[in-house]
Amino acid sequence: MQIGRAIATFGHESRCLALVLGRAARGLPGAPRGSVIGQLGTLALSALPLVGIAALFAGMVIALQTSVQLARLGSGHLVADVVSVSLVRELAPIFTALLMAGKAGAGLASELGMVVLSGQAQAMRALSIDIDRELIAPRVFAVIAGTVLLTMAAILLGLLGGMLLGAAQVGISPVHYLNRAIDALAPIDFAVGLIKSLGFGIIIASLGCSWGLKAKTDASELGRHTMNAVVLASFVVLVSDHIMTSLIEASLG
Amino acid sequence: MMGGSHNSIAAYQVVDLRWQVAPNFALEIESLSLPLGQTTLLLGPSASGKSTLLRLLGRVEGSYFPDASPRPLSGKILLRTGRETEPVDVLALSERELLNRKIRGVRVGVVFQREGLFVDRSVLQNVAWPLLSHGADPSQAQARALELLDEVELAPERAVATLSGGERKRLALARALGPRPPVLLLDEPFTGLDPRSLDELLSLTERLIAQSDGALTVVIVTHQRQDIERLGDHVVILRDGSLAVAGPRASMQAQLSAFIAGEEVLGA
Repeated sequence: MQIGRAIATFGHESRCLALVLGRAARGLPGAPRGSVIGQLGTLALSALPLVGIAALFAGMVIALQTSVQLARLGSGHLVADVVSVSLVRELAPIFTALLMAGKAGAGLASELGMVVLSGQAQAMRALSIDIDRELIAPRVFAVIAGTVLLTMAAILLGLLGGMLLGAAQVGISPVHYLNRAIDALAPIDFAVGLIKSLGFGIIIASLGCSWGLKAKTDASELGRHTMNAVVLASFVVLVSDHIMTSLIEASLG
Repeated sequence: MMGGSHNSIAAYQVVDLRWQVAPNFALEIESLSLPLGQTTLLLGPSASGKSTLLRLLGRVEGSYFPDASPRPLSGKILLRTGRETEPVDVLALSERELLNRKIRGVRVGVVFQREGLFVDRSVLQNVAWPLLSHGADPSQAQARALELLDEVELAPERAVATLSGGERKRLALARALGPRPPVLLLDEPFTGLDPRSLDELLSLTERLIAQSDGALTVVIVTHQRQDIERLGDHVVILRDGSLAVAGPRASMQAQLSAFIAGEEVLGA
């Protein structure tokens, strides 16, 4: 009985996510440009300092850890290769997504949740204001585009962090480090990282909007729904990372 | 009190309506007509289904997502917004059709007890935004919004957060009237106001109805004595999700008195 209920709930939640994405796609062409740009700033670009600093330090930590291990094997010169590939393919997309799940996912769920809780969503429906066009499409687009853009920034800053650490602690010159990194990276590595960040953006946007738009009776439900949006988005990002990596590896190599 | 000019025509005709709202509550109305161009009071004790019916009339009963467990709904609600127009079965329309055909807002305005004002917009924008969203020219939308705000005596540049309870209600009314809907549904619009604000709002509503000269059909859900005494050409009383009694106000004095006194309302 409980398994049946769980399957029904999963089916309903999946339908809600699909509805959010479908309606956002339909609403996007008519969405107010000012709102799209504003949401890109509010939900995504405002996270740039956070993501940037985190990426810089992540690049340094990876370089430090990797250099120690590689030095034991007598392959210290490979630090730039390992750091750059792991950053581009895996680490930058995943930690950008996790930070976005916390910031943008929570922002979407709480802001839209307040719109629902305060009766504004109902008033919009009663006034024939297209909620998909006015509210959902700009936010979904901003989170997806923002996750991809922030991942690109995280890659650059992560590489910079690795380069700084390499110069300061391992004694690799910045020029040599950059040359090794560029040689190690292929276009496919960037494609893998950015495709994954696109997928993560879709997950964060749909879960944030979906939990935000659910009917609520009181403020405690708003908090619970916001928490669910963040926890689920983080969880699904991590699980889907493995699935996407396997699929991309199988199809693109 | 307004006597409408379209007495024989129904703005709404409810036919064989049945909605299983909850496992232990269903709204069941076999037949009900609400006259065009008149003000109908929709009365009943708590949990009698009056707000539920009003939400169905305005098709604002759902939420953004479909119900996880669908609540069976059957019957017809035929809406006619003018003497010459053909009735539309609003229950048969999907969310997208309701939006595309501009049934809500443009043909049927709704004011909720919880106003749902757009808090991040000014008073002026609250009224103008729906008009702009329907494709109105910005200067026309602003002119219409200013006209309505003048009518309800609100300063256009004020922030929503600074409005008092009565002012919030007035703004919600102005916002609903923006697209000039021929039908206006009011769900307990005057609840929770101090006596002076209540008197001002009732006077405003009376004035707006009088100015419409029978072109505005109003349905008000209420249980406040003052609303009942001052508004309404037609009365509908619900009980336990069913129609108890309905008719012109003149023929419903005994039932109205009984309702105000909190007594059991008997059928006509």
